[in-house]
Amino acid sequence: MISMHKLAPLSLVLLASASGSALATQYLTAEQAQQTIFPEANSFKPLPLQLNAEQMKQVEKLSGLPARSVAWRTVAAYKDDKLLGYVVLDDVVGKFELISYAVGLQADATVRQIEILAYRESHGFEIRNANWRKQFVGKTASAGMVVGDGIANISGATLSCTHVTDGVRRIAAVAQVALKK
Amino acid sequence: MRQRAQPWLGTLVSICIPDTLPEPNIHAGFQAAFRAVQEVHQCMSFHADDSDIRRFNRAVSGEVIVIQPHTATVLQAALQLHELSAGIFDIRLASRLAAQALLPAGDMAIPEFVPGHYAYRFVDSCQIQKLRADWIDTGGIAKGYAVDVAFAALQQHGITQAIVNAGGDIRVGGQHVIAIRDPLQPQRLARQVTLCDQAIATSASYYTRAGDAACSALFDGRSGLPVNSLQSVSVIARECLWADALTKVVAATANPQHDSLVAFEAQALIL
Repeated sequence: MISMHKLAPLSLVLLASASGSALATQYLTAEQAQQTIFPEANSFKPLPLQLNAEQMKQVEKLSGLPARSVAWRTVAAYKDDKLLGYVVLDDVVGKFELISYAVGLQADATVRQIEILAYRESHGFEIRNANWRKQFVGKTASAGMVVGDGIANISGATLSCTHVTDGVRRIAAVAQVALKK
Repeated sequence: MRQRAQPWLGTLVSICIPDTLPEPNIHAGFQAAFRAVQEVHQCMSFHADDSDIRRFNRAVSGEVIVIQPHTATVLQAALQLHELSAGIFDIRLASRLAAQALLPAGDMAIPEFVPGHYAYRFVDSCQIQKLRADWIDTGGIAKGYAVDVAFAALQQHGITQAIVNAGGDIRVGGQHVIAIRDPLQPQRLARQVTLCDQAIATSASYYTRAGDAACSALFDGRSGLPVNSLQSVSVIARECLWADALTKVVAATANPQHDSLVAFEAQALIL
């Protein structure tokens, strides 16, 4: 395990300009995420998903979390006439960040794959500001955002993504309640 | 560069590879790398009921536990650094993290952390014997390891230019500039370093601090006490496993020249 190669010398530069901007990374558009999760699909159809009061209760019971929303942005994936599964799109807000993600579900409503669509964080108080968040929620392109360095290139203490994991758990419950055939 | 990210290991794992490669290679590379991270997650999750770590923590003292090769590699490395750091690095600190509600205790009573002991010994390459009623948590080393295995998976697909980042623990193939967060204002970037076929990991308490209250996920294995510092520690090494684990030793000692860095030809940076 111990490497005997010589390490390259460190080059340390104080960051000036990049430190002022908010950070954002666009990973996939909703369409790219659908195709990534279901590469074998040849068509995707929007599926309006509205939970009734009873279904909301069931989602809360299954996931142990507030159901949060009545309407869920859902797309059904098909290969010809065969239903392959679904993709549900969602956004979650953390302490410093807003994350858009897609949950791919099999036709039996079990989770197949999760893809992050976009990550945005702010250095100010915007993340707790509903108007600031509104410009991104439900959109998958980082419109109106000053894009700094990609998140792939930032080292820091680990930011927990519990809110994404909770979001996935909630969507898995929504799928069990409303999509399972 | 093409980037994708998935939630694993309790954080976001992002992978960045050149978009000049043929589309099927890009797809296969991403799939293989994320699958590797998923395997590490499943072996070493503290939460999942069927993980090796969870089975160890539920086992009674004296029991022999069969573990996956990924877990064996990480637990061997943890023993190695435990000895090299004279007990500063200790994955038995899980019980201290659980006592601070930084790890879930579930329905089990949290064992007392007593410094200077070993939780397990290797019976053979894939079996360990539990020596004490301790808990272990590989959260301070497994993210770095997951980055290494994802990186190896990309290499096996002929992808040598890449950035793999598991919640701030990064390995790069080729030369890339990496920014380090400002520990006092983590939404800002404080420094940048140029890495070439190297890894960097950073540890700090800025995301676990609640307001002004000290709540650090970093502990010193010699005392079991939290490291309450506002600084951030970054370590650059060849492999991300060592970069990740060594940040805990440097953070506990506040010594960027700590002896244990030498064995891995690692360099530390305290901000």
